[in-house]
Amino acid sequence: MIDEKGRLFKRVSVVDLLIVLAFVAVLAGFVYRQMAPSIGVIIRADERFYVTVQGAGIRHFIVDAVEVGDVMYRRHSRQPIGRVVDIRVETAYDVMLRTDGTAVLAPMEGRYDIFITMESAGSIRDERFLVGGNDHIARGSEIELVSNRVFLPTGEVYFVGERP
Amino acid sequence: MRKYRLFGLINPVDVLLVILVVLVVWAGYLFSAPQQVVADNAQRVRFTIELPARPEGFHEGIRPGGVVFDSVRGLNIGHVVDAYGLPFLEDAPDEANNVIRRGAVEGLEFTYIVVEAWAVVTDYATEIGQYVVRVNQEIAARSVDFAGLGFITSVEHM
Repeated sequence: MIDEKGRLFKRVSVVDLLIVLAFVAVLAGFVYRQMAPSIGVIIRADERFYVTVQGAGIRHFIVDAVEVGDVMYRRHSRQPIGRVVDIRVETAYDVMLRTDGTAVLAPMEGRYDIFITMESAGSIRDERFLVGGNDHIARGSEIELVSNRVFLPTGEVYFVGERP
Repeated sequence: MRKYRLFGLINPVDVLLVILVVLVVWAGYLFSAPQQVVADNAQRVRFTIELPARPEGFHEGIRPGGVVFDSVRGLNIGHVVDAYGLPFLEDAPDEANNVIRRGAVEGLEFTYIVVEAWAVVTDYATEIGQYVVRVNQEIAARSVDFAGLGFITSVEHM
């Protein structure tokens, strides 16, 4: 099958074939990752659900830059997460170390926790909420959000579900 | 020495050279400093740069009209319309009241530089040429009157 010159069926060099196969494998892996659905049963597609992302300890100018109606995207994938339907702002807290060696959770003047609730469109598979096909949104995961006016690098998914 | 050719035709060194040329051209485009070209669908935007912990009075040397550049890629990102200063604040524990306060630091200021430019605005980004501006984005900016690292604190679509 392979002759003394390393050719398969006396026609194609095995080395050339291996190089092409390696390239095709990388390309196939990239396409699969981008387009193929993950293993699981699709229960519902094009469903609406709600995602709330928390940004902690942020300054007022970031709070002011988020508005109801803004479309928020996941920064690294440019995948739209949803449209902002509600914004809640609370005083931020942080650990304050005292000179007597104790620590307390203290309110931070001029800093806020923002809770941004978005209405998302995606699919629900095996109780997982997916946007953009394969992007799994899970409670507790870190997420970088952007809109056309604001960048929230340290967001955490606070809630995801079918009702806000 | 036997010459290796892919499928008997293509010299792999030639392929590598072509890839190298493409990368050099791409890098040249990416790091070039084109003058701001106004796109057909552009609109005016104003954004504010905050430079922290500048010496008090630093803003007084920044004149309106100066062209502002991104220091990393040398991109023209607009011109100064205003500059002002506010007391620089740092977090400081107030143990008596169990509160973390924002305290003014004497002798230092936040310098705010208001920049105006033409930008293309989409749902995803506000783009001044190749430069994207967003609130809370870190920015290294310079003009003939200043240079510094700070954050964008407001973006207004006019």
